[in-house]
Amino acid sequence: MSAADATLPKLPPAQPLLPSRPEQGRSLILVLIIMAFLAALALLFSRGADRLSERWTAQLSQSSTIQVLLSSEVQRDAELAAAVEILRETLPDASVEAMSRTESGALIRPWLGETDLPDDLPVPGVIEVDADAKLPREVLRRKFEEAGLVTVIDDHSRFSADLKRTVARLVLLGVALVAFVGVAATAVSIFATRANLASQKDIVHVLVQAGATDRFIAGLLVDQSARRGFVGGLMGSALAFALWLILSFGPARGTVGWRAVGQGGLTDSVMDLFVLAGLSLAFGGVCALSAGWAALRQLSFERRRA
Amino acid sequence: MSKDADLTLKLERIGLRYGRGPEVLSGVDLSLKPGSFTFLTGESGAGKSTLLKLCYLALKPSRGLIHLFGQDLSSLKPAQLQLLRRRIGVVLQEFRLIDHLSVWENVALPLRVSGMNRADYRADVDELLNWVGLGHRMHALPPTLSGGEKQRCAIARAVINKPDLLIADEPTGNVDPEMGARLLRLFSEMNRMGTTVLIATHDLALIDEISARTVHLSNGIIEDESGAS
Repeated sequence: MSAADATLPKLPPAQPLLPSRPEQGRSLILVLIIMAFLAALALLFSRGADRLSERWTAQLSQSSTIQVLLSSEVQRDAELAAAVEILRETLPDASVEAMSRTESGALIRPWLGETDLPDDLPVPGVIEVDADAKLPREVLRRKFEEAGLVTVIDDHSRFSADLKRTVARLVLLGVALVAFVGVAATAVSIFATRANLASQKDIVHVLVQAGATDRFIAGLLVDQSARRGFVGGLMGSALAFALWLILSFGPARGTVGWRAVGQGGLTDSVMDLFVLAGLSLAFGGVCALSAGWAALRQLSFERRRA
Repeated sequence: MSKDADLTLKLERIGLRYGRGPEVLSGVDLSLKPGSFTFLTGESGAGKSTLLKLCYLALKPSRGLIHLFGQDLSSLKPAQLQLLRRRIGVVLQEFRLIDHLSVWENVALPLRVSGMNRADYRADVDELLNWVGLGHRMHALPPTLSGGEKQRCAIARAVINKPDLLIADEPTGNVDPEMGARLLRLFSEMNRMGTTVLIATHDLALIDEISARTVHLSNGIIEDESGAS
């Protein structure tokens, strides 16, 4: 600063060349908040479903069920004991437990109702195995055959695959919802930019006459739109996260499965927060890009029409 | 280099019509040499403002050619036209000030738009505002200004970046004779420094103040020229 400049009184800060119009801005931000809220919830549910699937499949992969199709009810104890012996020998670190006839019978009660099971009903012997390692199916099958036992080995892999497929579809649905919301945010931003340019036509004319390039004018709208998008995204995400926390730690926490879907711990919460911060930034980015694109197109159109 | 390339502005057989209406301008030829001072006169509705709009690139002609600073406008890209606009200062009858910006910011607008640093033009804007008698109103908003003050603000904005071509539409229409003479001195001073000046006016007293070329427009046709060229 020169000596002459130092004597000049301080100027007020420069005003934005395009004034923000609070009456229009408020409605637009409300729409953006709602869209961001929906997108954030879709993301959180997708992530929750993914977490749930991982936990369930991890639990399922540790437990297996061996069904022993008994040659006769009289042989139940002997054949079950032989099967348990083979399992303990093959998997010395695993927990192996044979169910009683009553416990096995309880498993088929949903199909048979509350009536007492007839004594001559062939209820299979069931053995539960919990092991850290994957079950050596072929080795076990050979050993059971050698011992003359007819068995069905169920390591829940089919159920796990079904579960993974279902959750993958849920995650895809969540991502599709986020994409739809992104498209809607783009459309809203384009509409708002055009309305903004139309309502501030006189100022835009003055700027053009003063030598402002299309990029310069579009830049002014991009600034406004990016700020609005980011604020809307942040507020919508914050609301969704608050609802998520209430569901995770509030009364719904005790409902079946919710605990695994919701916040499982600090790591999940921090990661979810990062994802939502990214969503807010993406909202700002989408609004900024669409505003810039719409402004450049509109200015070019107006110029051709002149 | 051709003779046309030396001219600040050259209009050749310009015709302009709005939509399917009659021609507002018809076969207009006009040349402005660098550093010239020209008055454009004519009755209301003669097409003066329309002709000026063509000169400051707010309109495209329906026919004919415009050369500005030696460049054929029909061959320029939009971005190049925008850069050419920075070399033109415009004063309009309706002032076109931006209401939410202070007088100071309105005047500084062309410099801000061209990407200059505020600190670099601060003193120039202050000085010019004092010159046009608006130093004490620099923080005022346009809606609070009188017609004359708005006029002076618009003039200051048009000349702040020392344009190569200054176009003014009735620049003294809203100011008292004393301020009118003062503004004319500003235009003359700029012209002396090399700016080409084109002023549309009804004010014969203003024309008498300066020995300058006068172009008369009537019914969209240039009828006669007089004075220094």
